[in-house]
Amino acid sequence: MRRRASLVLLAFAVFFAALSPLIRWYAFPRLAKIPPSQYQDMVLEAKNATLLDYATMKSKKVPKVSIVQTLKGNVAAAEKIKDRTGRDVVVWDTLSYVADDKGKMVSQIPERYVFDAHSQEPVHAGGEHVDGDPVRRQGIEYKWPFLTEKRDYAYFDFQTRTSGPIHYKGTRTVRGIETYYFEQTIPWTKVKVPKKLPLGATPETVEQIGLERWYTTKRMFWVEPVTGAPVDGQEIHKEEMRWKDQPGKKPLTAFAGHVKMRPDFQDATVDLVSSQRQLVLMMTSYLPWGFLALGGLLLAASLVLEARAPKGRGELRARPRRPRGPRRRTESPPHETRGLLGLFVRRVGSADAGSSGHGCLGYRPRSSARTPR
Amino acid sequence: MRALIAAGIGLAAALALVLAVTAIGAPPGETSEKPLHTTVPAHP
Repeated sequence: MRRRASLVLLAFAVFFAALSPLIRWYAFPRLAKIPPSQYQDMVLEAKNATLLDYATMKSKKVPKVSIVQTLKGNVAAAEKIKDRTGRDVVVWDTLSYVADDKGKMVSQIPERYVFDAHSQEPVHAGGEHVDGDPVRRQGIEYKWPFLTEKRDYAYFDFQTRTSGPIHYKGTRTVRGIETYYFEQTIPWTKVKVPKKLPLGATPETVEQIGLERWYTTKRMFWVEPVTGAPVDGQEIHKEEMRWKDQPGKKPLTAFAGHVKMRPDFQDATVDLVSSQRQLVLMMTSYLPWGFLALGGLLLAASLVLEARAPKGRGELRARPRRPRGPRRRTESPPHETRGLLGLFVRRVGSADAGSSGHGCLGYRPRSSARTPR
Repeated sequence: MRALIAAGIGLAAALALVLAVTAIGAPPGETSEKPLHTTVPAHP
Protein backbone atom coordinates (compact mmCIF):
# COMPACT_ATOMS: atom_id res chain seq x y z
CA MET A 1 0.00 0.00 0.00
CA ARG A 2 2.82 2.41 0.88
CA ARG A 3 4.56 1.67 -2.38
CA ARG A 4 1.41 2.46 -4.35
CA ALA A 5 0.95 5.69 -2.39
CA SER A 6 4.55 6.66 -3.09
CA LEU A 7 3.97 6.18 -6.82
CA VAL A 8 0.83 8.35 -6.69
CA LEU A 9 2.78 11.00 -4.82
CA LEU A 10 5.53 10.77 -7.42
CA ALA A 11 3.02 11.32 -10.22
CA PHE A 12 1.70 14.43 -8.45
CA ALA A 13 5.24 15.63 -7.75
CA VAL A 14 6.10 15.46 -11.44
CA PHE A 15 2.73 17.03 -12.33
CA PHE A 16 3.30 20.11 -10.17
CA ALA A 17 7.03 20.39 -10.94
CA ALA A 18 6.24 20.31 -14.67
CA LEU A 19 3.43 22.86 -14.29
CA SER A 20 5.86 25.37 -12.83
CA PRO A 21 7.90 26.15 -15.99
CA LEU A 22 4.93 25.41 -18.26
CA ILE A 23 2.86 28.15 -16.61
CA ARG A 24 5.69 30.68 -16.61
CA TRP A 25 7.11 30.15 -20.10
CA TYR A 26 4.31 28.53 -22.07
CA ALA A 27 0.95 29.56 -20.63
CA PHE A 28 1.79 33.09 -19.48
CA PRO A 29 3.00 34.45 -22.85
CA ARG A 30 -0.15 33.04 -24.47
CA LEU A 31 -2.70 33.95 -21.81
CA ALA A 32 -1.46 37.39 -20.75
CA LYS A 33 -2.95 39.83 -23.23
CA ILE A 34 -4.91 43.03 -23.54
CA PRO A 35 -8.57 42.10 -24.00
CA PRO A 36 -9.82 43.27 -27.42
CA SER A 37 -12.98 44.69 -25.83
CA GLN A 38 -11.24 46.99 -23.37
CA TYR A 39 -12.75 50.42 -22.75
CA GLN A 40 -10.84 52.96 -20.73
CA ASP A 41 -11.00 56.67 -20.15
CA MET A 42 -8.61 59.09 -18.54
CA VAL A 43 -8.81 62.78 -17.71
CA LEU A 44 -5.70 64.89 -17.51
CA GLU A 45 -5.66 68.52 -16.46
CA ALA A 46 -3.42 71.52 -16.89
CA LYS A 47 -4.01 74.18 -14.25
CA ASN A 48 -3.33 77.86 -15.06
CA ALA A 49 -2.68 77.03 -18.68
CA THR A 50 -2.37 79.30 -21.70
CA LEU A 51 -4.80 78.85 -24.61
CA LEU A 52 -5.32 80.52 -27.95
CA ASP A 53 -8.68 82.23 -28.32
CA TYR A 54 -9.61 81.60 -31.96
CA ALA A 55 -12.20 84.43 -31.90
CA THR A 56 -9.63 87.13 -31.11
CA MET A 57 -6.52 85.17 -32.20
CA LYS A 58 -4.90 86.12 -28.89
CA SER A 59 -3.44 83.89 -26.20
CA LYS A 60 -5.01 84.01 -22.75
CA LYS A 61 -4.59 82.41 -19.35
CA VAL A 62 -7.32 79.99 -18.29
CA PRO A 63 -7.75 78.33 -14.90
CA LYS A 64 -7.87 74.83 -16.34
CA VAL A 65 -7.63 72.83 -19.55
CA SER A 66 -8.85 69.22 -19.56
CA ILE A 67 -7.65 66.49 -21.89
CA VAL A 68 -10.01 63.54 -22.06
CA GLN A 69 -8.52 60.38 -23.54
CA THR A 70 -10.82 57.49 -24.36
CA LEU A 71 -9.66 54.08 -25.60
CA LYS A 72 -12.27 51.75 -27.03
CA GLY A 73 -11.44 48.24 -28.24
CA ASN A 74 -13.05 47.41 -31.58
CA VAL A 75 -13.69 43.65 -31.33
CA ALA A 76 -15.04 43.17 -34.86
CA ALA A 77 -12.02 44.88 -36.44
CA ALA A 78 -9.64 42.85 -34.24
CA GLU A 79 -11.28 39.57 -35.29
CA LYS A 80 -11.07 40.50 -38.96
CA ILE A 81 -7.35 41.15 -38.63
CA LYS A 82 -6.90 37.93 -36.65
CA ASP A 83 -8.62 35.95 -39.42
CA ARG A 84 -6.29 37.52 -41.96
CA THR A 85 -2.98 37.45 -40.07
CA GLY A 86 -3.51 34.74 -37.45
CA ARG A 87 -2.32 37.12 -34.74
CA ASP A 88 -4.09 38.13 -31.55
CA VAL A 89 -4.47 41.85 -32.06
CA VAL A 90 -6.20 44.72 -30.32
CA VAL A 91 -7.71 47.58 -32.29
CA TRP A 92 -8.11 50.71 -30.22
CA ASP A 93 -10.18 53.56 -31.52
CA THR A 94 -9.13 56.49 -29.38
CA LEU A 95 -10.05 60.12 -29.00
CA SER A 96 -8.02 62.86 -27.38
CA TYR A 97 -10.53 65.60 -26.62
CA VAL A 98 -9.23 68.90 -25.27
CA ALA A 99 -11.68 71.18 -23.47
CA ASP A 100 -11.24 74.61 -21.89
CA ASP A 101 -12.31 75.54 -18.36
CA LYS A 102 -15.91 75.97 -19.53
CA GLY A 103 -15.95 72.54 -21.17
CA LYS A 104 -15.85 73.92 -24.71
CA MET A 105 -13.88 71.98 -27.30
CA VAL A 106 -10.36 73.22 -28.01
CA SER A 107 -9.39 70.38 -30.33
CA GLN A 108 -10.03 66.70 -30.82
CA ILE A 109 -7.84 64.10 -32.47
CA PRO A 110 -9.07 60.56 -33.19
CA GLU A 111 -6.67 57.67 -33.72
CA ARG A 112 -6.75 54.02 -34.63
CA TYR A 113 -4.02 51.98 -33.01
CA VAL A 114 -3.56 48.30 -33.98
CA PHE A 115 -1.17 46.25 -31.88
CA ASP A 116 -0.27 42.75 -30.76
CA ALA A 117 -2.37 41.81 -27.72
CA HIS A 118 0.55 40.02 -26.05
CA SER A 119 3.63 42.09 -26.85
CA GLN A 120 2.02 45.49 -27.61
CA GLU A 121 4.10 45.68 -30.79
CA PRO A 122 2.28 47.60 -33.54
CA VAL A 123 0.65 45.45 -36.23
CA HIS A 124 0.51 47.02 -39.68
CA ALA A 125 -2.70 45.49 -40.95
CA GLY A 126 -4.25 48.60 -42.42
CA GLY A 127 -6.51 51.14 -40.83
CA GLU A 128 -3.93 52.77 -38.56
CA HIS A 129 -4.38 56.51 -38.54
CA VAL A 130 -4.01 59.72 -36.57
CA ASP A 131 -6.69 62.32 -37.22
CA GLY A 132 -7.51 60.56 -40.49
CA ASP A 133 -3.92 60.50 -41.76
CA PRO A 134 -2.56 56.98 -42.38
CA VAL A 135 0.45 56.23 -40.19
CA ARG A 136 2.82 53.32 -39.69
CA ARG A 137 3.65 53.17 -36.02
CA GLN A 138 6.89 51.89 -34.57
CA GLY A 139 7.22 51.25 -30.87
CA ILE A 140 4.61 51.51 -28.17
CA GLU A 141 1.88 53.99 -27.34
CA TYR A 142 -0.24 54.41 -24.19
CA LYS A 143 0.91 51.12 -22.63
CA TRP A 144 4.18 49.28 -22.05
CA PRO A 145 4.53 45.51 -22.47
CA PHE A 146 3.87 43.11 -19.60
CA LEU A 147 7.04 42.68 -17.50
CA THR A 148 8.47 46.00 -18.61
CA GLU A 149 12.25 46.08 -18.69
CA LYS A 150 14.62 48.72 -17.37
CA ARG A 151 15.58 50.06 -20.78
CA ASP A 152 14.63 52.66 -23.34
CA TYR A 153 11.64 51.96 -25.59
CA ALA A 154 10.51 53.47 -28.86
CA TYR A 155 7.39 55.57 -28.23
CA PHE A 156 5.02 56.86 -30.89
CA ASP A 157 4.17 60.54 -30.69
CA PHE A 158 0.79 61.14 -32.29
CA GLN A 159 1.34 64.87 -32.77
CA THR A 160 4.47 64.46 -34.91
CA ARG A 161 3.36 61.03 -36.22
CA THR A 162 6.87 59.74 -35.56
CA SER A 163 8.51 57.42 -33.04
CA GLY A 164 11.42 58.31 -30.82
CA PRO A 165 13.13 56.82 -27.79
CA ILE A 166 11.53 57.19 -24.40
CA HIS A 167 14.32 56.87 -21.86
CA TYR A 168 14.30 54.78 -18.71
CA LYS A 169 15.39 57.03 -15.85
CA GLY A 170 15.17 54.78 -12.79
CA THR A 171 12.62 53.54 -10.29
CA ARG A 172 10.16 55.74 -8.40
CA THR A 173 7.42 54.95 -5.89
CA VAL A 174 3.95 56.22 -6.78
CA ARG A 175 1.22 55.73 -4.18
CA GLY A 176 3.04 52.77 -2.69
CA ILE A 177 3.69 51.09 -6.05
CA GLU A 178 7.22 50.71 -7.38
CA THR A 179 7.31 52.10 -10.90
CA TYR A 180 9.79 52.59 -13.72
CA TYR A 181 10.11 56.24 -14.70
CA PHE A 182 10.37 57.06 -18.42
CA GLU A 183 10.95 60.40 -20.06
CA GLN A 184 10.78 61.61 -23.65
CA THR A 185 11.43 65.08 -24.98
CA ILE A 186 10.06 66.08 -28.36
CA PRO A 187 11.95 69.15 -29.60
CA TRP A 188 10.13 71.96 -31.35
CA THR A 189 8.63 70.31 -34.42
CA LYS A 190 6.19 71.55 -37.05
CA VAL A 191 3.04 69.45 -36.78
CA LYS A 192 -0.30 69.21 -38.52
CA VAL A 193 -3.21 71.35 -37.37
CA PRO A 194 -6.05 69.22 -35.90
CA LYS A 195 -8.98 68.82 -38.25
CA LYS A 196 -11.47 69.81 -35.56
CA LEU A 197 -10.93 73.19 -33.95
CA PRO A 198 -13.26 75.70 -32.23
CA LEU A 199 -15.46 78.13 -34.20
CA GLY A 200 -15.35 75.93 -37.27
CA ALA A 201 -11.67 76.67 -37.88
CA THR A 202 -9.94 74.14 -40.11
CA PRO A 203 -6.33 73.45 -41.10
CA GLU A 204 -7.06 75.28 -44.36
CA THR A 205 -8.30 78.46 -42.67
CA VAL A 206 -5.31 78.45 -40.32
CA GLU A 207 -3.02 78.13 -43.33
CA GLN A 208 -4.82 80.94 -45.14
CA ILE A 209 -4.15 83.24 -42.19
CA GLY A 210 -0.48 82.41 -42.66
CA LEU A 211 0.04 80.32 -39.54
CA GLU A 212 1.63 76.96 -38.94
CA ARG A 213 1.54 74.86 -35.79
CA TRP A 214 4.69 73.96 -33.85
CA TYR A 215 4.88 71.77 -30.79
CA THR A 216 7.27 70.58 -28.08
CA THR A 217 6.70 68.42 -25.06
CA LYS A 218 8.44 66.71 -22.21
CA ARG A 219 6.54 63.48 -21.65
CA MET A 220 6.84 61.58 -18.36
CA PHE A 221 5.42 58.19 -17.45
CA TRP A 222 5.56 56.19 -14.24
CA VAL A 223 4.98 52.61 -15.35
CA GLU A 224 4.05 49.71 -13.11
CA PRO A 225 6.49 47.13 -14.52
CA VAL A 226 4.52 43.90 -13.99
CA THR A 227 1.47 45.02 -15.97
CA GLY A 228 3.22 47.65 -18.08
CA ALA A 229 0.44 50.11 -17.25
CA PRO A 230 1.28 53.74 -16.49
CA VAL A 231 0.01 54.75 -13.03
CA ASP A 232 0.96 58.37 -13.58
CA GLY A 233 1.57 60.47 -16.67
CA GLN A 234 2.51 64.11 -17.09
CA GLU A 235 3.47 66.39 -19.95
CA ILE A 236 5.01 69.82 -20.02
CA HIS A 237 3.40 70.75 -23.28
CA LYS A 238 3.76 73.84 -25.51
CA GLU A 239 2.13 74.61 -28.85
CA GLU A 240 2.67 77.71 -30.91
CA MET A 241 1.11 79.11 -34.05
CA ARG A 242 4.06 80.59 -35.92
CA TRP A 243 3.77 83.05 -38.78
CA LYS A 244 4.88 81.56 -42.04
CA ASP A 245 7.64 83.48 -43.80
CA GLN A 246 7.67 86.06 -40.98
CA PRO A 247 10.30 84.82 -38.53
CA GLY A 248 10.43 88.16 -36.74
CA LYS A 249 6.73 88.21 -35.84
CA LYS A 250 5.90 86.95 -32.35
CA PRO A 251 4.25 83.52 -32.44
CA LEU A 252 0.88 82.89 -30.78
CA THR A 253 0.85 80.42 -27.92
CA ALA A 254 -1.85 77.90 -28.82
CA PHE A 255 -1.44 75.94 -25.63
CA ALA A 256 1.03 75.86 -22.76
CA GLY A 257 0.63 73.99 -19.54
CA HIS A 258 1.76 71.23 -17.23
CA VAL A 259 -0.64 68.36 -17.88
CA LYS A 260 -1.23 65.89 -15.04
CA MET A 261 -3.65 63.03 -14.39
CA ARG A 262 -6.75 64.16 -12.51
CA PRO A 263 -6.44 62.67 -8.98
CA ASP A 264 -9.71 60.68 -9.07
CA PHE A 265 -8.73 59.05 -12.37
CA GLN A 266 -5.28 58.34 -11.04
CA ASP A 267 -6.82 56.63 -7.99
CA ALA A 268 -8.99 54.48 -10.26
CA THR A 269 -5.95 53.61 -12.39
CA VAL A 270 -3.89 52.63 -9.35
CA ASP A 271 -6.74 50.38 -8.12
CA LEU A 272 -7.08 48.74 -11.52
CA VAL A 273 -3.35 48.23 -11.93
CA SER A 274 -3.01 46.82 -8.41
CA SER A 275 -5.62 44.13 -9.10
CA GLN A 276 -4.25 43.28 -12.55
CA ARG A 277 -0.75 43.13 -11.09
CA GLN A 278 -1.81 40.29 -8.79
CA LEU A 279 -3.14 38.30 -11.77
CA VAL A 280 0.11 38.69 -13.67
CA LEU A 281 2.18 37.86 -10.60
CA MET A 282 0.03 34.75 -10.12
CA MET A 283 1.19 33.48 -13.52
CA THR A 284 4.79 34.65 -13.34
CA SER A 285 5.67 34.12 -9.71
CA TYR A 286 3.14 32.76 -7.22
CA LEU A 287 2.00 29.66 -9.14
CA PRO A 288 5.38 28.70 -10.68
CA TRP A 289 7.27 28.95 -7.40
CA GLY A 290 4.40 27.48 -5.36
CA PHE A 291 4.03 24.50 -7.67
CA LEU A 292 7.78 23.93 -7.76
CA ALA A 293 7.89 23.86 -3.95
CA LEU A 294 4.83 21.61 -3.82
CA GLY A 295 6.43 19.26 -6.35
CA GLY A 296 9.58 19.09 -4.21
CA LEU A 297 7.58 18.35 -1.08
CA LEU A 298 5.58 15.64 -2.80
CA LEU A 299 8.76 14.08 -4.17
CA ALA A 300 10.27 14.06 -0.68
CA ALA A 301 7.11 12.49 0.75
CA SER A 302 7.14 9.92 -2.00
CA LEU A 303 10.75 8.99 -1.28
CA VAL A 304 10.07 8.72 2.44
CA LEU A 305 7.11 6.44 1.83
CA GLU A 306 9.13 4.33 -0.55
CA ALA A 307 11.98 4.05 1.92
CA ARG A 308 9.60 2.89 4.62
CA ALA A 309 7.79 0.45 2.36
CA PRO A 310 8.53 -3.23 3.03
CA LYS A 311 11.43 -4.41 0.90
CA GLY A 312 11.01 -7.28 -1.50
CA ARG A 313 7.25 -7.30 -1.46
CA GLY A 314 7.15 -6.60 -5.16
CA GLU A 315 9.04 -9.81 -5.87
CA LEU A 316 6.89 -11.79 -3.50
CA ARG A 317 3.69 -10.74 -5.15
CA ALA A 318 5.00 -11.16 -8.62
CA ARG A 319 6.30 -14.71 -8.28
CA PRO A 320 4.11 -17.76 -8.91
CA ARG A 321 3.51 -20.10 -6.01
CA ARG A 322 6.32 -22.53 -5.47
CA PRO A 323 5.16 -26.14 -5.58
CA ARG A 324 5.25 -27.94 -2.28
CA GLY A 325 8.37 -29.92 -1.65
CA PRO A 326 11.70 -29.64 0.06
CA ARG A 327 12.80 -26.03 0.30
CA ARG A 328 16.22 -24.98 -0.89
CA ARG A 329 18.07 -21.88 -0.01
CA THR A 330 19.14 -20.12 -3.17
CA GLU A 331 20.91 -16.85 -3.82
CA SER A 332 19.56 -14.61 -6.46
CA PRO A 333 21.85 -12.62 -8.70
CA PRO A 334 22.26 -8.97 -7.90
CA HIS A 335 19.35 -6.95 -9.25
CA GLU A 336 17.74 -3.60 -8.88
CA THR A 337 15.01 -2.88 -6.42
CA ARG A 338 11.64 -2.23 -7.92
CA GLY A 339 9.60 0.85 -7.40
CA LEU A 340 10.69 4.42 -6.87
CA LEU A 341 13.84 3.76 -4.90
CA GLY A 342 14.98 1.50 -7.69
CA LEU A 343 15.76 4.66 -9.59
CA PHE A 344 18.36 5.58 -7.01
CA VAL A 345 19.46 2.52 -5.08
CA ARG A 346 20.82 -0.84 -6.14
CA ARG A 347 20.10 -3.72 -3.86
CA VAL A 348 22.44 -6.67 -3.86
CA GLY A 349 22.07 -10.29 -2.78
CA SER A 350 18.56 -10.59 -1.32
CA ALA A 351 17.24 -14.02 -0.56
CA ASP A 352 15.09 -15.51 -3.23
CA ALA A 353 13.26 -17.79 -0.88
CA GLY A 354 10.38 -17.03 1.42
CA SER A 355 7.37 -16.94 -0.81
CA SER A 356 4.48 -17.83 1.31
CA GLY A 357 1.74 -17.26 -1.20
CA HIS A 358 0.08 -14.82 1.11
CA GLY A 359 -0.43 -12.17 -1.53
CA CYS A 360 -0.34 -8.66 -0.27
CA LEU A 361 -0.08 -9.87 3.29
CA GLY A 362 2.69 -12.27 2.41
CA TYR A 363 5.61 -10.23 3.59
CA ARG A 364 7.87 -12.07 5.91
CA PRO A 365 11.22 -10.95 7.19
CA ARG A 366 14.08 -12.53 5.31
CA SER A 367 15.23 -14.30 8.42
CA SER A 368 11.88 -16.09 8.69
CA ALA A 369 11.86 -16.81 4.98
CA ARG A 370 15.09 -18.64 5.36
CA THR A 371 13.85 -20.63 8.33
CA PRO A 372 13.20 -24.21 7.25
CA ARG A 373 9.79 -25.51 8.12
CA MET B 1 9.67 0.93 -14.26
CA ARG B 2 6.53 1.75 -12.31
CA ALA B 3 8.18 4.91 -11.08
CA LEU B 4 8.88 5.95 -14.64
CA ILE B 5 5.28 5.28 -15.60
CA ALA B 6 4.03 7.33 -12.65
CA ALA B 7 6.35 10.20 -13.59
CA GLY B 8 5.19 9.99 -17.20
CA ILE B 9 1.55 10.15 -16.14
CA GLY B 10 2.26 13.27 -14.06
CA LEU B 11 4.12 14.94 -16.93
CA ALA B 12 1.45 14.07 -19.47
CA ALA B 13 -1.29 15.40 -17.20
CA ALA B 14 0.57 18.69 -16.71
CA LEU B 15 1.12 19.10 -20.45
CA ALA B 16 -2.50 18.26 -21.23
CA LEU B 17 -3.81 20.73 -18.66
CA VAL B 18 -1.62 23.62 -19.85
CA LEU B 19 -2.30 22.93 -23.53
CA ALA B 20 -6.05 22.76 -22.89
CA VAL B 21 -6.15 25.98 -20.88
CA THR B 22 -4.09 27.93 -23.42
CA ALA B 23 -6.10 26.51 -26.33
CA ILE B 24 -9.38 27.62 -24.75
CA GLY B 25 -8.04 31.10 -23.97
CA ALA B 26 -10.29 33.97 -22.98
CA PRO B 27 -13.45 35.06 -24.80
CA PRO B 28 -12.94 38.25 -26.87
CA GLY B 29 -15.98 40.02 -25.45
CA GLU B 30 -17.92 42.70 -27.29
CA THR B 31 -17.20 46.24 -28.33
CA SER B 32 -18.33 48.59 -25.60
CA GLU B 33 -21.51 50.56 -26.14
CA LYS B 34 -19.99 53.53 -24.36
CA PRO B 35 -18.98 56.48 -26.54
CA LEU B 36 -15.65 58.17 -26.99
CA HIS B 37 -15.94 61.13 -24.62
CA THR B 38 -16.58 64.58 -26.02
CA THR B 39 -17.30 66.00 -22.59
CA VAL B 40 -15.28 65.91 -19.41
CA PRO B 41 -16.51 63.01 -17.27
CA ALA B 42 -17.42 63.91 -13.71
CA HIS B 43 -15.80 60.79 -12.27
CA PRO B 44 -14.00 57.61 -13.42
